[in-house]
Amino acid sequence: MNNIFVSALLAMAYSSVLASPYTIRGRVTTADGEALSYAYVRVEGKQYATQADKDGYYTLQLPEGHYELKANLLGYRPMSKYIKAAADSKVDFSLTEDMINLHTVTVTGTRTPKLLENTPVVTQIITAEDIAKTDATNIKDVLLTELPGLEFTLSMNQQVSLNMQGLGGMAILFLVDGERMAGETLDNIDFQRISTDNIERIEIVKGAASALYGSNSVGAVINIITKKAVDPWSLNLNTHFGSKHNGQRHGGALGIKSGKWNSLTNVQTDGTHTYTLNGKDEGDRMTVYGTRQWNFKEKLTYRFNDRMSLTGRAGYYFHERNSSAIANDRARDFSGGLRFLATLADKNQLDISYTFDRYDKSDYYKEIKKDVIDYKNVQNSLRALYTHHLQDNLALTVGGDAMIDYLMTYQFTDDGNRKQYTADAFAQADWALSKNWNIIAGARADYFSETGWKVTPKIAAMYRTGHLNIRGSYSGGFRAPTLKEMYMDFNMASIFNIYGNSNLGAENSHSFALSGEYAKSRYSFTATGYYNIVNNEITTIWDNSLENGNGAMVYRNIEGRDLLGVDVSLIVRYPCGIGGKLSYSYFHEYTRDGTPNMSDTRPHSITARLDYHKTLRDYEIDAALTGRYLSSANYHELQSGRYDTYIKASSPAYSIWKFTLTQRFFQAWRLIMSVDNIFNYRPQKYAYNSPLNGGTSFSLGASVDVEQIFKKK
Amino acid sequence: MFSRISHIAKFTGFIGMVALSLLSVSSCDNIYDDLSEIPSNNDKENCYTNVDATSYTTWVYLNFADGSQTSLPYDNTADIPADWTIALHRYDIKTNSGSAFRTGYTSLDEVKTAAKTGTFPMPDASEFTRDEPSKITIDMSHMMDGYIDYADANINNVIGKWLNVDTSSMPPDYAMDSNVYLVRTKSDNVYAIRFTGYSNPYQSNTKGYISFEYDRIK
Repeated sequence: MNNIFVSALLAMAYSSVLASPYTIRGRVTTADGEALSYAYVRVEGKQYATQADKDGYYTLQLPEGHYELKANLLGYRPMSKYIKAAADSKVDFSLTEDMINLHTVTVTGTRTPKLLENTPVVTQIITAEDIAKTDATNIKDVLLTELPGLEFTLSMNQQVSLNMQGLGGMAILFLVDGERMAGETLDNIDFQRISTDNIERIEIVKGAASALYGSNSVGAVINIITKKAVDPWSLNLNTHFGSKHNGQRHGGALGIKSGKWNSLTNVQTDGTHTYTLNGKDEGDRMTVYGTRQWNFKEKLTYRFNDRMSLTGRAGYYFHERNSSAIANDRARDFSGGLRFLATLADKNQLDISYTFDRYDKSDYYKEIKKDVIDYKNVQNSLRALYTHHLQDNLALTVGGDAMIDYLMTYQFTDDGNRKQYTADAFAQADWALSKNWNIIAGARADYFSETGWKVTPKIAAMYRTGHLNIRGSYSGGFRAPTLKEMYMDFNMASIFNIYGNSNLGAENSHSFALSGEYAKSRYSFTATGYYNIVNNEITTIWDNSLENGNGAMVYRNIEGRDLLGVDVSLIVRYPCGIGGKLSYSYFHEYTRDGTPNMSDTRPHSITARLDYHKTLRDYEIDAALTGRYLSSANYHELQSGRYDTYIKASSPAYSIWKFTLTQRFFQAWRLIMSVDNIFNYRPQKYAYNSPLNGGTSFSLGASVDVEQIFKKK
Repeated sequence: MFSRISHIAKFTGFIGMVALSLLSVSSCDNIYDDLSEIPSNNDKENCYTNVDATSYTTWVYLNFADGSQTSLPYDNTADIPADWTIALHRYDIKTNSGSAFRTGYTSLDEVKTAAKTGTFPMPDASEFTRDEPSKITIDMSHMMDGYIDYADANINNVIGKWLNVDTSSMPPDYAMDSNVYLVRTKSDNVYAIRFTGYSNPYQSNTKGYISFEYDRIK
């Protein structure tokens, strides 16, 4: 079987050797005519590729035919030329600098593809290259490296909990290719489910976005856009070992692009052993449960023609955690979907999709080897989106979704189940008033079978002059109560009961953002201010009147908070290969009823990256130093044993630095070495918000792109 | 024309493949085990399985001589059975005027054999530790308000080491000791005990259900 596969690959690789009669020559330069040394030139969708020499000159042998020739080099906008190979010919490329990804297409802010520089909605992008530089395993690692003002902490039973500028996991909407994810634990999705191996880019829209995305987009939308196959065939195999806790990651990706078919299959497994951390204080220790994950993803697209395509997705995820001596926590996810995309006349677009996502949790009893399910969340969603260009400068987007949300959980009476139906419709106008002004306005109505209607508006505007973009927006956000919050009936370790509340109303937010961005070839400076008024927040509170005066926890809507955030970011990138990014985030929370600030969100945080990239003949090097600083947080908590006395509490400041060196040989072999926590930071006492890497560690990774070995030069 | 038919065929195949993968998803309940498949061990001799010690206000009195168990409020001393060996309150353990010893063995059978063959000489009575005055938690319901209610009780701190609940870090870290403990009764019988569980699979893995096996070795 293996032999057949290898023979097929070899046959595909060499079949074109037989007839390559024409020589295409040319030079790759900058817009100013300077040579771009070692730029890559390849034939889109074929196995032909080459690298220019030091002076930018390249040659390529091609058989007769029509081709799309593409030149690219990191830091420059890729350029395509359509050529006919019928004689020896000369094709030159002059590439424009795009050091800071302004020409990246984004979809999250408007739900229609727009260049980053043209979208009126403030959007941050993390590219696949950024992710590769961080050597990240899952989305958690990526976000921590790239975004300040964000922290992953531990909540009860060592479950991972997100805090993004004062908002928790339920107020941040995570999407994969625009689709929601089923399943949550203590109000957070399973972040380990989003492995980085098939991520093309991550788009982050801060502030409320319910006018486009409905429930949960109170504080931000984080949309993960997945890759598809680029080459006729591609095969990547990779492995990674850490020096601590037996951290490992192994993966593979197989891409096939043949005729009208495009398939990408990703498999990744990762894990760590259980380990104990020792704080600097005598006797302080903390055990971190070991986990292992398996992630399998398939994305298959069939293109009927240039205008229509159908994409099928399937995914399987498995997670196991050594959470106790008796039983391990397990989680599994089964997902699938179909998406039909059509470009109609006048660039009008139709997008219809169906998604199935099922997230299970179970306990695996080690001694008797039995796996007992106690949680199942199934979401079936149908979506339709249509963008109509009324005029060149006015696009109207209308859409609607329907979803059935099923939840069975041990937290319901007798491990029962509940169902909720939701439906929504929305409309948005995107109007380029002039060369300088772009306005977007929209509204959405959501219906929930359990809680009724919810309407949210938004308006965003962008003014552009020269290299300066100013963006301002108001957007509404809301979060409908979940089935868990409405119907929970759970005894918490015989300590107290937690009850749901079917009278809960939606949590909602009014979010204002103002942003200025100055971007010129090698520099980009962005400053954004956010003000988010959160009302009617859903939380558990202690109610003494329950359980015959013994008291119990119950879900309630409470007053809410006002959140102020400021993000400042500076990106610099020089053609010599040196670049850097410095991001700072400020946060302040205003309480309303005169109570002291109980938010443990850190007011100041910084992420920094200094990197160097160089492309040479058959060799590339990337060195990146990344750092993350979190200021101390001073807040208040209730004094032990007293209802009315607040005492001061604090979390210490810390910074963590990582150095990653990536070398690529012959465009195929990649060797990644990294040192994490270079300055060996360990807290005095490990707490729920301490970094859990336990001192300096090293890692070594290797990756091979097998198709590059077979590329026709 | 032919290419259109082949398109339709491919498309139908594609839909079929996706439908098949979705269908197979609907049958994924089969990968799980039913609770009823889990042997409860209830009829196993010399074994207590999932003893309900979840209540903070209850002592569960166990009599190894007849395998019986009696639950009583912590402050009810009038109805304590005449004969009992140990009693459980959450993870606290007290003996009936007895004492306890922690062996280096991790298998009940090994201890039995070693005791019989003399490989493991029975420790002297002075090496066993008696119960000591201490405090037990009787009300956790105010934990969210920041205080916990305690009551005085005599408990055995040696056998009490069977489960280390480390609350110094959040979340608590549960580490069960796999070593065999010995309990010497007031009438000088010695039982060997090996703990096997602190949570109940039948109750969504709720903690506070205690399982162990035991045998009389003297």
